[in-house]
Amino acid sequence: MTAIHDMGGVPGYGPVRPEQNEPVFHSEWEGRVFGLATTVRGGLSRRRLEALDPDTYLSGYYQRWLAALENGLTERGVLTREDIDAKADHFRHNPGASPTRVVDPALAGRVREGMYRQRREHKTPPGPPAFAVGDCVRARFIRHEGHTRLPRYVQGKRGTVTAVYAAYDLQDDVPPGEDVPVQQLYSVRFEGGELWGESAEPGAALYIDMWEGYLEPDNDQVQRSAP
Amino acid sequence: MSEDHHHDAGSYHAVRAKALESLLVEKGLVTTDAIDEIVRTYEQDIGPLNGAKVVARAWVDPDYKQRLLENGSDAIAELGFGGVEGAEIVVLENTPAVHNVVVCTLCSCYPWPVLGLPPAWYKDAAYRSRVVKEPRAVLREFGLEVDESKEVRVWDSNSDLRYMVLPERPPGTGNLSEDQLAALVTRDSMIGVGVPTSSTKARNP
Repeated sequence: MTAIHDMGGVPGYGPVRPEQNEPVFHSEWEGRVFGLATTVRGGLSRRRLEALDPDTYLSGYYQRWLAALENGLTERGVLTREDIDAKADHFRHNPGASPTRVVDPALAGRVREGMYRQRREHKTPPGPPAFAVGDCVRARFIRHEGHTRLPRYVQGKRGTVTAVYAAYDLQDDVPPGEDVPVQQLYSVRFEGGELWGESAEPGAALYIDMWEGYLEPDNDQVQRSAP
Repeated sequence: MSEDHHHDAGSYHAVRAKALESLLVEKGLVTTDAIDEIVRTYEQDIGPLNGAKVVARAWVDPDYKQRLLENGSDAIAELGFGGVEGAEIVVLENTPAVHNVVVCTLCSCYPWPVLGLPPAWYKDAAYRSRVVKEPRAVLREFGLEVDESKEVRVWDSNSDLRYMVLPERPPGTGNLSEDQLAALVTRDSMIGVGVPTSSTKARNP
């Protein structure tokens, strides 16, 4: 797996280009891909997005959704690449043709309701939180082979716990057969200078959510403050 | 390394998308009108006007503001908003001393029920890579100069929590109604790359 998606602090991507009066979808196909990807179970996932080659990943947002959705559906055996290629040829040669149409108003209504449904993921914490607000912590170095929510730019850096949130499933990949651990989630503040050294802007700080397993006590700090 | 979002109907992507939809419909895994409904919902119903109403309520009702800052999603649900990508929204208050700005460096996490789907720049490499390191420079590219006396706090949404900024109420708006105030609240001001407009005539992103 590449780390193309782990973009925090990576140089070379140039200026931000905001678009005035931007539409929600720039082309009709973007909306269709959004609808398909959010409806078909097991098609699109963050893991499949992150597994794309860098060129495909950087080709655009719905471009990479489409690629990851295709990969997911073919890897799971829902569709074959040959089926998709053949159908795509059909639409290429018949630009006015529309996809096969089947409607089910009752199902569409349920899909619509689903978009307004809340689903909270609080879990029973495995024990009391290891850290409290104000604690000095260090983000661990974890060279992860699979999916993780611990970006490279905070790894090894020292910060301060600013909030103790609820407990959640860890979102990182775990070895096959292992249960997904439930961990306490924190908000941790990192000073600009700690993350970026002399190139940090003055008066800027970074806040990020940290599962407990991402953190260790900042022992240097403990030693400094010991009598 | 710019990302091109513009493709016509005969493009590679348009053709592949049609092929996928057609095959999935034929297999009975999706229906046409369910996809129509999703597209319509995010084009017409769920967008930054929701967040603007939340902000305006917080500006006129101190008790509501307190509930909003203590439990964002519950207070947002009081106004009827909630759903996918918004089960737990944390609201960050801008003050004379602090300016907050939100990013997702790992993907594009965004509080859909209050802001709708994110703009392209929020999902692109330039914003995601740079705003954590040089927020003031990036905000300047949006035309926002944050005073040196203010601390800039960048929030990287890497967990299932979603972040939304409560911007400062513009000065001189004491006589405006809640609806008029909501019209001042821009999408960008709730991400933290802008501030509310001071005139009800112009609505920026």
